[in-house]
Amino acid sequence: MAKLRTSIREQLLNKINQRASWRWAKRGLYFLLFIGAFANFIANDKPYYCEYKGEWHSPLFKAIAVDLGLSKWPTDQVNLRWYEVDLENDYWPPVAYRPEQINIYQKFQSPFDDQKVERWQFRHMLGTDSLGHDTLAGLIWGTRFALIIGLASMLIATIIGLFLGSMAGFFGNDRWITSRAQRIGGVIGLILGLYGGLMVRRPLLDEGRLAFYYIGALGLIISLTVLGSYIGRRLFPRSGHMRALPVDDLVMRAIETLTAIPALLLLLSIVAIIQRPSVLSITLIIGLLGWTGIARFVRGELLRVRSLEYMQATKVMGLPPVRALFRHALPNAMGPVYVAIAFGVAGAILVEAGLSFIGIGVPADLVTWGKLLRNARTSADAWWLAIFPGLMLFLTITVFNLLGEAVSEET
Amino acid sequence: MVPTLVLISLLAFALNECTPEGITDENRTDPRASALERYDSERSNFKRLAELRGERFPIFYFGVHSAAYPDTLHYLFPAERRLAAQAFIGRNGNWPAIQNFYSELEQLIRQGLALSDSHQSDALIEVNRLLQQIPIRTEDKNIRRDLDKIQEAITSDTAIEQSLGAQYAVVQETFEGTTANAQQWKHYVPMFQWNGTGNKYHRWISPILSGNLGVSLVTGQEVGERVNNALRWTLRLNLSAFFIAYLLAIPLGVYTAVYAGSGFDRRLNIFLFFLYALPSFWVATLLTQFLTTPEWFDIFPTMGVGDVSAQASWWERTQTRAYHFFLPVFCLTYGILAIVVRQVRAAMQGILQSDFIRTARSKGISERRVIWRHAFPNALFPLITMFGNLLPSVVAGSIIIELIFSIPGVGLLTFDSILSKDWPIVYALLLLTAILTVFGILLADLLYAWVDPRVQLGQQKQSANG
Repeated sequence: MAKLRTSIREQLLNKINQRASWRWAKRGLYFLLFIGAFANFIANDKPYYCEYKGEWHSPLFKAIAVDLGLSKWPTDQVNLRWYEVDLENDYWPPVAYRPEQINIYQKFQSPFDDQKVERWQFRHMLGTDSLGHDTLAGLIWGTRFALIIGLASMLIATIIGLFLGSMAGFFGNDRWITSRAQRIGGVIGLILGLYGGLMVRRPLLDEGRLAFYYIGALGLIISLTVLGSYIGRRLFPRSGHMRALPVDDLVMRAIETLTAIPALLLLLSIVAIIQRPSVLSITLIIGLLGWTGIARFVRGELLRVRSLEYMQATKVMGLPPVRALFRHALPNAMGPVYVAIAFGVAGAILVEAGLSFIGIGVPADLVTWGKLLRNARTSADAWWLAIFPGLMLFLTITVFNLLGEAVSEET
Repeated sequence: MVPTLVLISLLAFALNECTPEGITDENRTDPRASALERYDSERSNFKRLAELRGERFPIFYFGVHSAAYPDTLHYLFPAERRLAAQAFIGRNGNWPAIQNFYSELEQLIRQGLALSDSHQSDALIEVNRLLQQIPIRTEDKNIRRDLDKIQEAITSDTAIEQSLGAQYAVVQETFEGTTANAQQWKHYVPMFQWNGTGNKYHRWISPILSGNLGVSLVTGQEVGERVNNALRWTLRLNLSAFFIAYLLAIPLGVYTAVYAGSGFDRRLNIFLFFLYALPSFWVATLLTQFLTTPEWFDIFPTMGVGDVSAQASWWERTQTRAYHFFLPVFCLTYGILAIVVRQVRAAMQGILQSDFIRTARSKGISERRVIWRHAFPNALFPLITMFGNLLPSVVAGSIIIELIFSIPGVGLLTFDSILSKDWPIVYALLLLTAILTVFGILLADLLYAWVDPRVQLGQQKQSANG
């Protein structure tokens, strides 16, 4: 008997494998993920293995252990520049530079310049900039941050978008029917939650424990609202005045508001406030602003799905609406969502590159493609600085767009 | 629409409130003044600055807070003192006692400074230094440690003890009083307060609504005038890009829809796909690098919009502008082109398969007439909606493109204002562009209803059109 249900992963892979260009996009994604994950091992200023003063070392692995807090450098090696000392039997990564490493003897090296290096790993294969930063190392480490920011921010956006979009699409303006007791209980719970979450816990805010304050407040508000309406229903089970909650209108209003403001302008004016930008802050902001597309797709698809017959069947069978939504309706509405996610990742990477190109909101010590491209503007004859980072960005965006196109194909 | 506008204004206002303090003007005091006079002038300076920024007003029309916090907390200047007081209230909840402590402390500070005119010793300097720190201390143990140190210093010097000892004892006592009589329960008692129109939001939004965007913190210029100029350049740039993109996209889209599946269609599709993925700021960087610099090909002007003398004829002016606009418009156009061609093609394809087209063909109407008179007007509707969706970018402009080509539009103005921490401009711009966008979308909807009589406005949309 043929397998009736195929896993989501299989379905997606089947779609992607249909065309050669999509298969190349898949390989491209794997390649980018590999580079991003192993950036330390591909571009690093420490050798894999070497013999120094008669003893063997593997500084690259040691450095990772030190970063993880598992190990400590011996005092004579803390600031040791491994590329300057005499080593024996040393094995280097393919690119023997870190992106932030300054090489004042080799500024503005063109890729085709004659570079006097002892080993091929020390060649600046894609040239250097005004301070002698190696471009290829920058591209490799930039891959890591572009992927982290692109994927993580889309994860946040997907969670928010899926939740709000499915609520709006599944319940619409007419399906979430509540009794008066439930509504009153819910409102009381909401008010208590708002007061308790934001006012009673305000000392936390003044102490500077922001994350704890906001996440706790959100949890308190939601749980007290749910609890309030539950108590209302249990206390007055026969309360009448059934009305539907305008879930759809509320969500659409929020989406309208967010999309009416020019996206990059909004992003910039939020990012500008943050005094000490970090990878986390930029990811969070892109994610928190980027959910509207996904929410719209889910909503549109669920509005279609919910009127299908099998959804009527779940109602007849007496399934609770939450179960019907998450087990039966949502899985069938995911198709457009994957498309939105794929294009969304490309968009997020582009936005991050744009922000770092402008130079606002991205931590100063981070090397990203946008920053590399920005360096090109100061030196007109360094063509390699302008071409390679942009090419990398273009290829990455193409990969995600191709994947999005593949997933959007009807099968 | 009104709720959307209100929400947008609240969002812009909230962001405006979150900005770090931009400008602190330098404190010019007479170096010959006594320590106490300097201190007083500094305090009054803070007060003046806060007054200037309107900080003495509550945030919104109404406020809900717990009984522990006074509704006059925003009278405390500067912000560090306010934060310290807030933390203090958070720990103990009894504002009257805390306020008592702070006012006794203030007296002690002034006494200490007054004493430094007649008496000089290391101990007194130390006392004064520590005293100035206490109002901005956010932790009990730090305050207590400072107080202990002050006591040590006071007892070491009899002259200080004589004049400050009594007041110090009061301060010490009131401080112990705050911790001893902690009233944590007050955090659980809600207080409601009505502020009327004397609040920050009202004072922020009402000039904007009456068209007065205020004065720039940095240059002292009228914001409205700068925004007006910037908006003009942005609209010129973007509208020409849109015009060219639509001009090219409509024939291309119609042609590929009619000859769907042909070699040209497939090649154009692939080409547009890659065009769509090309980051415009990369293309702009490449163009500026290779076409505007003497190192490569110096064909186009590098930046700006060109100087035109006032007497120049219309033709000369257009020429100069076109010369300067060529590259930026190109960078903006190709992205729009890629989207619009696909839209036109999809819409046309759908319509060419519908029944009324088959009817028209079977009536023997020429193919050209079928396409342009029967099919095309119907394919136009999605374009109007799409124009509404693309409007935000028309109004806000492409910040990066304006930055690269130094076009003094909205994007560049925002960027400059952010860099110079000129927050009023940033958020006035945000609000203004959002309002313009909302009206633009409304206009697109009206236009849609006008050209397509099937659409009825004001009806509850039940369809699945996200």
